[in-house]
Amino acid sequence: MTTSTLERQERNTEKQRPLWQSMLKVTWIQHRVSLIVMVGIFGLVGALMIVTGTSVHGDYAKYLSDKCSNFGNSPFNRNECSALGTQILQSQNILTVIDIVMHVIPMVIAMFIGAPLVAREFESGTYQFAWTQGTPRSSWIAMKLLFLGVIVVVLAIPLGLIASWWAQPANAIGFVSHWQAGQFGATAMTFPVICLTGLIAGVLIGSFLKKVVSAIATTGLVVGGFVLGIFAYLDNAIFSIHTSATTWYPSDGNIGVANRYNQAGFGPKGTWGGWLVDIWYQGANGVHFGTAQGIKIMNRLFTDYANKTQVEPPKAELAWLASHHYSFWISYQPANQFWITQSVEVAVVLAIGFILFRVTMKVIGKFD
Amino acid sequence: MNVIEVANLGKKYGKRWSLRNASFSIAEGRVAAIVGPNGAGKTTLLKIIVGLAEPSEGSAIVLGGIKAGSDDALSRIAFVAQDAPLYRYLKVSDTITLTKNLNRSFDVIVTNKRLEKLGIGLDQRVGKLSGGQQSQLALALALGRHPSLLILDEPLARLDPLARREFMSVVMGEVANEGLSVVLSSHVVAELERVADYLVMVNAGHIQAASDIDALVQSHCLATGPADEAETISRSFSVVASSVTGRQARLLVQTSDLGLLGRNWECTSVTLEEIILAYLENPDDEPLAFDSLGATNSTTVPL
Repeated sequence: MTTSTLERQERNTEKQRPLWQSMLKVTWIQHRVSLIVMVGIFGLVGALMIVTGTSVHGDYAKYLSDKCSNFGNSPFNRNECSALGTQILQSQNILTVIDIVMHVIPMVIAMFIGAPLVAREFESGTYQFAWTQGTPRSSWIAMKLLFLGVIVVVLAIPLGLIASWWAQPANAIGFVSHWQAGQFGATAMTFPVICLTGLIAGVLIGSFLKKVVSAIATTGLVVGGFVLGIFAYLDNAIFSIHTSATTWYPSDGNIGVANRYNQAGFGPKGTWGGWLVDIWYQGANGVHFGTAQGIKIMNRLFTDYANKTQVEPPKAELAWLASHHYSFWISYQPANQFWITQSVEVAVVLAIGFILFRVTMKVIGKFD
Repeated sequence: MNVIEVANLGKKYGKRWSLRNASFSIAEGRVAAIVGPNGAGKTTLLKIIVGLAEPSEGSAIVLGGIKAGSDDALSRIAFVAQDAPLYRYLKVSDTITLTKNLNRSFDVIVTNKRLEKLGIGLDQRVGKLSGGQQSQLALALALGRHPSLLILDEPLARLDPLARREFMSVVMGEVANEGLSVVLSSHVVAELERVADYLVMVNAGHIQAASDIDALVQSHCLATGPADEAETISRSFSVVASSVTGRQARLLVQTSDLGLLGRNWECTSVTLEEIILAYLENPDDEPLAFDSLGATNSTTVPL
């Protein structure tokens, strides 16, 4: 060679920047439009929540200043309280929309940022450019996922905080609960990791399918199923771990209703602010009755003591149960376990995300 | 030093071998052309060399002992893929910044000067550039890395004759000034003789020949002589292709000593293109030992 490679490299070339700085620049150049749109969506959703939430919080502040916070009896114990309570109750419709949006956002991130990330490289053939430069493709994908993941998490945390803030009045009064699946997966802890895992899932699906449109469609289905799975199964599975149990009296409401009113003044003391997980009847010697037998016992009880269930505590019901050697039990997650169960969900979703990340690295590393 | 050294290299996609038993080496400073028909295995071979594909068998070593596709190899080899795929939605300036950040070293000044000379504006979107300009941009980005080895996959395929000349003059300028080694694949055979000094023929997934081009051309001739002696010639020499018209036979012969053909035979020189086409028409041949210029038996195809 006329000139050594080393000598040539010294000409006109700047001092090499650290890999992370270079890849940050690369990620920005390639994905800035998607990122700006994502910031816009997060900003818009956040702003709408703040605007609508401010009104709900105004009602709630009045509810408190009017001393409507007496939970010893029904919260609607006075006309003015009833009106405020109704207004806050009606805000649940918006809260439902917020919960839906908070579950759709991870899908949107996965579909429109995750899925095309690698699929577009394959579809356009640009992987042949990107993966033959001086940065190994493992670093290329790891750094891109790292930066996009950090941005998603950083944007999702405030949105989760705003969603929790929005629901706080309705939760405090007892119309809804932050333990409910919709809210549980939309906190500042769970929402970011669901978004992050969705992003990684989208990248992995795109790496397999190599076509942008089919990757987006498949990612929508898969991540939608994943979010639904968290909503319908994972939350309940986590709640059923390490529960507390206590005896109580049966009501004619189902367990969902019991949960919603599970605030101070309702239910056994230990369960206030907690989440009821299960109910069952127990016979003599601690025999645990199944659902069918439990319903039979409840029907007999209510037939004998109809219209007496509003008495608190319903001594007659308890006496009936005692005379038949039955007891009524509930299991629940105490209020102070909320953040622990949140942490467990975060850990489970993060573990899934990590596995997907490793598979993605493997797929891209082995691709030919 | 050999910039490429492959031994028994094979690549299988599913149940089909795209490339098999490929063995050859290319010395530093060469401009090597890899030729073969579409689907012959050229791109597969190049993809293994640049690390975009893992070999199913055999080995590929680059730059005097580095494993193909390793981090070290990536930083010293520049690759321009077929159709020069670049990010169409980015501006030229962004593409330069992108390339700079994907490499340990990158010569922005030289790249910008080269693009300025070609009339490619930094503010233009890559997708708005013509095919030729995109190829030139891809080449400028590759050369900006100051690679030890430049690999071009079908670089001329979508260029008009003028753009081909411009493209290759840039490459050859770099070879002359920087001592760059170049490997390019092409099925535009006519262009190669002017630029390449080494040839690798790939056909139906195997290497038919790997040789210095001058030696290849010098070792072949179109022998014209009596048809009744054609069979004798075929037994003594490697006849790549043959045709008989009346009492006259025309044979494309490979031999280290053309004088041995005999008095009745007239030997005229053939072009590289004629040699290549004759070989490629006969894909089932065993690889020919051109490097040693030894005679190798070959089935013949009509001229």
